Amino acid sequence: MNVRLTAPGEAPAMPAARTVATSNAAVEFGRVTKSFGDVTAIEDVSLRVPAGEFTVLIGPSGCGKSTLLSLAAGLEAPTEGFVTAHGREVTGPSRDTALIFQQHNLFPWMTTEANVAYGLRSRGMARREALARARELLAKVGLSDFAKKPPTALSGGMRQRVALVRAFATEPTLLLMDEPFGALDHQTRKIMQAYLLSTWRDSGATVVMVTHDLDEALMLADRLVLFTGQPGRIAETLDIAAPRPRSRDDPGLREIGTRLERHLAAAAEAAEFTEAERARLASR
Amino acid sequence: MTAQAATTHAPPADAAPEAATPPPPRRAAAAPSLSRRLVRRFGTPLSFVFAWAVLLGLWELGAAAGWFSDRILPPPSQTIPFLLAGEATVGFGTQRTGLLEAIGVTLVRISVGLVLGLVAAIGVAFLILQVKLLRALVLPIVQSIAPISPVAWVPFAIAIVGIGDPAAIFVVFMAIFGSMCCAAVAAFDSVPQEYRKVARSLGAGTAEMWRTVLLPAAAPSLMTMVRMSFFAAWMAVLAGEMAGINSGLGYLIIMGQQMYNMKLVMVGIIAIGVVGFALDRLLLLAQRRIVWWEDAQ
Repeated sequence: MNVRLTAPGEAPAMPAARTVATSNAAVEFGRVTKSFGDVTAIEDVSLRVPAGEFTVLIGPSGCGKSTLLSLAAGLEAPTEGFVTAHGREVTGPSRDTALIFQQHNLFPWMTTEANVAYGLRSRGMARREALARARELLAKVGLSDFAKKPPTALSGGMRQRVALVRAFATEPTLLLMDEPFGALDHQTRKIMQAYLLSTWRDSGATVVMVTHDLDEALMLADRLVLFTGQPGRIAETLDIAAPRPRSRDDPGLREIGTRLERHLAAAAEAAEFTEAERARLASR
Repeated sequence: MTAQAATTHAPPADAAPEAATPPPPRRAAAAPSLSRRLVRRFGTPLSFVFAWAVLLGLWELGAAAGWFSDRILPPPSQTIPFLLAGEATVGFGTQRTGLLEAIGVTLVRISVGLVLGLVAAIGVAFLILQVKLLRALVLPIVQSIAPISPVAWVPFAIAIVGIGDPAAIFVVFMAIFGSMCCAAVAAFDSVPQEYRKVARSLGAGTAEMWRTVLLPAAAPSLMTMVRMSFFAAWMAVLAGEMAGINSGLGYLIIMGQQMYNMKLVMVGIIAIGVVGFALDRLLLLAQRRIVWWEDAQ
């Protein structure tokens, strides 16, 4: 069990200029601030996501975690600072980046196989070839029987699995996930986590995942980034070197868990209540 | 499903006939009695026929009893033979036009106007969505055109293109374009952001985004919009035909009024009701086929 802790003050200094990263960072945020009108979603965030690693962003809702993913995906541009992917500045959606949301967002007007083939078709693959490849990928996850069916014929877990297959179909080097299993029940969620880990290991892709679920974060992450709001800032970065598969009973993990739990509770409380309300709550 | 937020409800006009096609009985359910099954299978069409039979019977009775003048409200026993004898015509000699011809003329006007309106509405909605400046410049104009009564365009239409088909098509177009365009913009606007994000991150360009995401996602709302617009077009063309475009079904009715031939008026009304109802059923069928995924959930 190797836990390295970095306090916010000791965070590695980011270069202020838009220099090309010299390290093997898959994504790099350099002093990024993003505002929507008057609202500052994230402020002065610097983060390096090493290639091939599984990074989990955790924090209370509304702390700008999803905004960070949108920036990495090139769907939004930073107000200040820079975002690079594989050393190049992100200016728009990239072919190497895939996105997954809490809602599976499969297109209901297409069959399951057409959904999986979508990214391949967008990259110019011929229809027949793309559909054949999609069926192959669906077969790998045991969903052959559903290839010709619409997504509405699938269960919640199956849909999210298809969404994963669709995202991985184009062999992205960077996978951005925004609470991908948030809508699933506990059991399905655990199965999906295991499935994600094995897919990730086989693909060698870099994963950045946003979650509310501390347990999920501890089970999956190589590196845990703790956010506080609002505006969103990085409070803490943790490396978790525990080997996988991990057990929920691992004393090291439980120790981190307990500490982070307290931290998250405080952050959530800060987001929900005003100073005066908190004082009143504390006095009871 | 987020996509369902975009669906609008069917117009109240088809609330009753909607149930005319009952869902297939579930196998798992216990077999209901024969009478129940008959009601379930034919209940709505039967009550449909029954309700009309009662109304027409009372009508006939009222005319026979002298409750109202059969010259003003001709009972079915006068109207139906008149219709079947093919006497529902206006004009003389080569100018003479019959009921079927009038229906045909009116239908062509509606179809052309509707298709042109739909294409233009989607086209303008596309531009409004693509170009921010146009949303600021064009959308307010479209929104102010939408509530103008179609009949108000008739003098203008006649002045520009004269009486006849082009004027009628113009009136239909003006009747539906504004509201269709507003509805189309709203339909495209309400396509969930996540669909767009997913498509963009999977590499879709603008054209592909429209073809594979925005159009299908908005299709349920667009289809409902077409059905509503069909009613608006149907009313607009009849009003236009009554107000100076001297041909078609509306003209037939207005001639009935001028000749004090209420049977002719009645036949015109029946034609409007039957054809309008039938076409709406057809559009509903088309809607179910085109947006097949909507019923599934």
